[in-house]
Amino acid sequence: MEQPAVLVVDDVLAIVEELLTLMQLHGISARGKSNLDDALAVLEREPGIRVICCDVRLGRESGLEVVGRIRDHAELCERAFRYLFVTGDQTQIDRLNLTSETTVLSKPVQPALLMDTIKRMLASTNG
Amino acid sequence: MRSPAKSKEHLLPGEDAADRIVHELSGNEPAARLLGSTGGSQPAIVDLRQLSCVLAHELRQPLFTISMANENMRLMLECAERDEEGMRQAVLRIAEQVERAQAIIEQTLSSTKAQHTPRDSADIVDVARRSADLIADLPQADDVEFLWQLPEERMLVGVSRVELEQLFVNLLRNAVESIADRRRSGWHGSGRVIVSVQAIGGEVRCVLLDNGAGVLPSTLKAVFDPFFTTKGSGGAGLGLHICRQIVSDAGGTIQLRPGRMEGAQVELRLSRVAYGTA
Repeated sequence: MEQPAVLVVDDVLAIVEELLTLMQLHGISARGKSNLDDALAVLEREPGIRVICCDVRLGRESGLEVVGRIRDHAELCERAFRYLFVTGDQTQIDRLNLTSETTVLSKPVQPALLMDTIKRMLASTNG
Repeated sequence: MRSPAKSKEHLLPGEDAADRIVHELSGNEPAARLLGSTGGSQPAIVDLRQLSCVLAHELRQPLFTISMANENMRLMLECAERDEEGMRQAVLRIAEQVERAQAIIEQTLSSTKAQHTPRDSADIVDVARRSADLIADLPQADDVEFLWQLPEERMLVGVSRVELEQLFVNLLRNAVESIADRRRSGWHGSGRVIVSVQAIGGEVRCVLLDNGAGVLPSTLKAVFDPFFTTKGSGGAGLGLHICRQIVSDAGGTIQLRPGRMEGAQVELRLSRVAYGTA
């Protein structure tokens, strides 16, 4: 199986499944998880993942914490990730402190825009 | 990539959408204050703006899923070798998520409806006096003077305390925001809201008078309609509609009209309930 390049994190199982199907149809290999602990475990196992597409509200967790948890991780902190946060809560977007590695899209995202964004982020990590 | 459909797949254990909405509202500082002190799972007063934000967030989940399932099906249709099973799954997913969205709406509506029962009575003078505390967290309320012209005697009306608080919070919030609107257009006067309650025969007449931006005669007919708002995306358009519903359920009337000199005036008329008959 092709090494995954994208990790999808969302507490809505249906969203994870549809996103993985969508990426598969676009020829992008991806993995999906519903919480941050599982997400970090996947990142440790899959060195090819460069883009993390993460929901902002993960049940009672904040998806935004993924950035800090990677920064504090002994090995993952050495890798360059691009973060794509997807949220249905406009107020959370307003509170975000965006960096060049971070992109935010508002749910419901148009699938074409989502895929364009992911492809662009993957391309930027190649170069 | 898909697993069999699960009806509550995106909810936390033990929660349904209505619970989650209440949970979200309770975790929000300004909203929590408005939720009141009933101590139960039902909020005493719902901040409509917060409620609509949380409800919108909940509805975006199934909408997002539907949007992607639809796109996946479109892409599968374009493939030379059609994935019949994949397309069947996408159709099922869309149907399941439509059902999910309907369930969220129904649960939210039934949760809100529960606050309107049982019918009982409350002292409108006491609720009016305390209602300013309920909107004290509004940033615009700092620059507004509240004047209370209230009788000493208690006046029971056939509306529950929770509903009366909801009524006053909605009306006072509108008044305070209207004053803020007027300021934004360059007005530098002193913001003022006068609340008066008086008995007239067997009725209680309550008037809220503000010196805000006022109300246009052309919008007077529509202000009580659901989802009508003059606040753009900042308003849910349900506040005055719910006010009218509460007053109508009690057999009363509510009228909004431009103030004599400036601002707007809301007049409530409710039947007075005798002690011991509630």
